[in-house]
Amino acid sequence: MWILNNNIMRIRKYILVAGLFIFTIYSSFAQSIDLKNNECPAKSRLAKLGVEIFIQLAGSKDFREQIGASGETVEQVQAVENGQTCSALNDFISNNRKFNNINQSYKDTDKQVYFYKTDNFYYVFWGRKPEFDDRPATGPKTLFIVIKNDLSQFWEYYF
Amino acid sequence: MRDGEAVTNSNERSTNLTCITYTMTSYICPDPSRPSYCVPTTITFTDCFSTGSTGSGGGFGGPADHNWQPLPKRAIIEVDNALDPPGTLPSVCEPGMVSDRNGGCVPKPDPCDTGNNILDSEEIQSDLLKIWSGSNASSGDIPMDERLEQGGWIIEINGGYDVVFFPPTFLRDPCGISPPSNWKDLIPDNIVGYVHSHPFYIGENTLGPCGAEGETSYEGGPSDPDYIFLMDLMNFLGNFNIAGYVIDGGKIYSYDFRYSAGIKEYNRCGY
Repeated sequence: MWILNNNIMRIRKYILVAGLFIFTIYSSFAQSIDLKNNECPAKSRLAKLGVEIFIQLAGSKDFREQIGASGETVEQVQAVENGQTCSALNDFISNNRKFNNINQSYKDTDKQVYFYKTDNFYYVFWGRKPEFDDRPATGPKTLFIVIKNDLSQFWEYYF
Repeated sequence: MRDGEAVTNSNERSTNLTCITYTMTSYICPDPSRPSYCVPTTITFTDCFSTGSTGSGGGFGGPADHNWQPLPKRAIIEVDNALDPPGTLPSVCEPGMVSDRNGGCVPKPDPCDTGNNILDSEEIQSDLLKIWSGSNASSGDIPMDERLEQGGWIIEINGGYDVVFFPPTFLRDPCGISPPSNWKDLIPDNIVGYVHSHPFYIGENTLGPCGAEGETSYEGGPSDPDYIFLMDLMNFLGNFNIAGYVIDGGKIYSYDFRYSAGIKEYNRCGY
């Protein structure tokens, strides 16, 4: 009887250790997923210049007025560096099939997504990675997504 | 050597002309993610330049006053080397046709009469023809992924204008031209603008060649990357009179530091 109890105790101990082990693995995995989702894209001089151009572009004036963004200024332009905001913007991309497809199509290429903001809007777009900041390239008009800062509305603009 | 070029040359100077013979091996890698997919090209040719001039000419933003000018220091090794190798010009084109300066004959294009000094220059129109021929977009039937952006620097020289074509180290694809890291060293003196093609026609769906964020209906005109290129060029040179030009299947667009506010549209001419 004493031997039986001893074995049960030992088995319980193994189960507890195994449980702890599994929990540790799971929580560190979950943490790494969170970290990845919270990750903000690298900043780029040329990407910032692109947002500044959008804000000054006469061709986008009507568009900016329509969405209520005519008060945004070049001085307000900065990269999004807050993890929670980046997480929300990453989710925004993942939850939209078109944007997610674009994002996936640039995996392992020289392009990446960029998150920039002004006082009342976020700007999500794709461009060449910061390591190409020393060499601007010509290119086609591409998608530029303007998002209200409460994430309640977004608009697409090609330029 | 990939994504690069080796140039050897021998110079011969006469009273009025400088002639240079080149042997150049270049590697064009249309897709940087596939380094094995690079096409080597060897070209040997001789090019001659007059060594100076007097005169005056109009530049962007007004006429320029210039006396004797030295040759653009870097133009010497780059003028015409990418799109105009000697020996490829057809000797005769049928009436109503004209050499595309790229080995073929095309219907004679309407000359430019735009009021823009640069576009109305015969030399520039000849260069636009070369750029468009090199873009392989002479008709909308040509598959879009077989077309290429082409372009070069517009320089003021000998009282007129010329295009110094981007060398092969500027990688081309249908949706862009990507310069090498030393691109600023390759900018010729006397630059007044830069020109490049969009090898598309209005309404074409560019999603295929340009990727998932391309335009479903090509609109024409300069893009954000084109403005960025111009801005970086102007900032580097400290010269905000430089103009950008885009040519496509239907129009020519000029633009400047004012971005879209400075856009002027011209009907296609000269190419």
